[in-house]
Amino acid sequence: MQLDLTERVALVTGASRGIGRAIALALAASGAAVVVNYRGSESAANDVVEQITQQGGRALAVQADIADESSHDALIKAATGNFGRLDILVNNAGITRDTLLLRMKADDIDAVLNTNLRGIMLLTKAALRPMTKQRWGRIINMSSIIGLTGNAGQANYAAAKAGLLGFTKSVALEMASRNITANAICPGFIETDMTAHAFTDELRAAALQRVPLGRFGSPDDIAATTVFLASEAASYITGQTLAVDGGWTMY
Amino acid sequence: MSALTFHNQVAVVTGGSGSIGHLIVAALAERGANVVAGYHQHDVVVNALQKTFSEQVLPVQADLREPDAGQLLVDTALSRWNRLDILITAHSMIANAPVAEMSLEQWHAVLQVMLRGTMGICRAALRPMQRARYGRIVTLTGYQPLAGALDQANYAAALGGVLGFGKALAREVAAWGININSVAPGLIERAQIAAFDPSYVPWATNIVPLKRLGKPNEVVPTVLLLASEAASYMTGQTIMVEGGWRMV
Repeated sequence: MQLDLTERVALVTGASRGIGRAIALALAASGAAVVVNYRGSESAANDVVEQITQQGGRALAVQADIADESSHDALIKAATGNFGRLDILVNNAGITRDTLLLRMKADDIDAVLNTNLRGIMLLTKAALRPMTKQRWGRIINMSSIIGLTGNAGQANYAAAKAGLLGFTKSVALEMASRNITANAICPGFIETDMTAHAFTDELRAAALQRVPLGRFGSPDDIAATTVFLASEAASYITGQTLAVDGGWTMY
Repeated sequence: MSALTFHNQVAVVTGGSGSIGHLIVAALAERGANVVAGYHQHDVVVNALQKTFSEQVLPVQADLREPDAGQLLVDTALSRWNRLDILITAHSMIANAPVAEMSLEQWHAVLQVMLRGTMGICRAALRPMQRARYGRIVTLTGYQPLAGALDQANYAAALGGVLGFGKALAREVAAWGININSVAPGLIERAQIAAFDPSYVPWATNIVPLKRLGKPNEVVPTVLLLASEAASYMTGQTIMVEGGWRMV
C-alpha cells in the first residue's frame, strides 16, 4: 500500500499548532512538500517549517486569514509557485466563539461561519484549479464530532462543521470525474492548546466518561488518518466522513 | 505516521480465499504478520498463499455454519503462535432473491454465515485479545445495510447486524484496548462478476461518481489501516470504500 507522498505538495491551513501542526509534520514525514498556513502564530509556524526542513523535507510558512478570500490566491501560489503543484488541501483552520444561542451575537455567528465554512468553500474552489489540471487531488476537511452530535454553547460551530460535511459530499460528486476526492474527518476530544484552555477539569472528566477508549486523542491520531486519506491507498474513498473519536459517536 | 507493519503480530482472516480476503492475507503476511487464513472453498488460492509465504500463512478449512468454526480458527492461531492481535472477517455468502420469493433456507443460510458466524469468531477472539490488552477487529461489510440493495434483504440484514454488533462490542471491550471497525466496500471488481448480467459493469461504471468499479486491492489498505496501531483512536466506525456512490 502506498502511504508515500513523495512528489506531492500539500497546503495545510491552521498548521502552526495543535492538529494542523501534527498533520503538516506527518505529511512532510511521508515525503510531501508542505505549505504551513498560519494566521497569528508566526514563530510557531516557523518552528514547524524548521522541524520539517531539518529532517530533509520541504516546507514554507505563509500567513493568511482563511476568512479573507483575498488571501487565497497567495496561498495557492505558495504551493504551485514554490513547489510546482498542489495535490493535497487540508482545511484544518477553525475558530470557536462559544456561547449559548440566546446570548450569541450576529458577529459570533458570522465569524465562525466565515472561517469554518465560507472561507473553506472559497479556498477549496481556488485549490480545485491546479488539481483539475493535474487530474489528481485530495481535499480533506477537518469537521468535528460536534458537527454530528451538536453541543450546547456551540450552535455556530456545530452548524459550520455539519455544513462542512454536506459541502464535502458535494465537492466529492462534482470533482470525482477529475480524480479529485473529498473526505472529512471528525476528531473527537483531542489534546491541544484549544481544548486545554476551553475545558475545566470537571468538564474534562465528564467528557472522558463518554469516550469508550478511556482517553483523549492526540493530534497524531488525526494526522495518521489524514496521511491515509491523502495517499494513493485511499483512491476509492470519496465523500466519506471518518470519526476519529475513541468511540464517542459511532454514528 | 507509524508505518503499517505487523511484525510479530498474529492475525486470523476469514474468507481467506475470497477475492478481497486473499489479498488481505497476502498484505498482512508481506508486512510481517503470521496469518491463519480461514477458508471454506477454493483451497487452491490459500495453498498458493502458503507457498508464497511458507511459515507465515496457515490455511485452515472451516465452515462458519458450524458453531465452533470461529473457535477452531482462533485456537489454531493460539496453538501455533501463542497470541492473536488481529481478526479480519472477510468471508461472504449470498443467496439473492426478492423478499416475496426468498425461502427461509436462503434467509437462514446468509444470517447463519454472515451474522452468527461473525459473532462466533469475534467472541472467540476476545479472550486472547483481552489478556494482551490489545486487539484489532475489522469486519468487512458492504453498502447493502447502509443504502439497501435489490434482492439482498437477507445480506443487508445480516451485515446491518454485523455493524450493530460491532458497535456494541466496541463499547464492551474498549477498556482492553480492543478496537472494532468495519470497512464497507461498494461495487468492486471480483471474479463473480463474470457470471453477472452483461449490463452490470456498464451500469456500475456509470453510476459511481469515480466512473469505475473499485479494485479489490483498493479495499485492502483501509483494512490494514484499521488493523494497525495507526487506528488506535478509531473504534465503532464504518468506512465506506465505494467511489462516492452512496456517501452514507
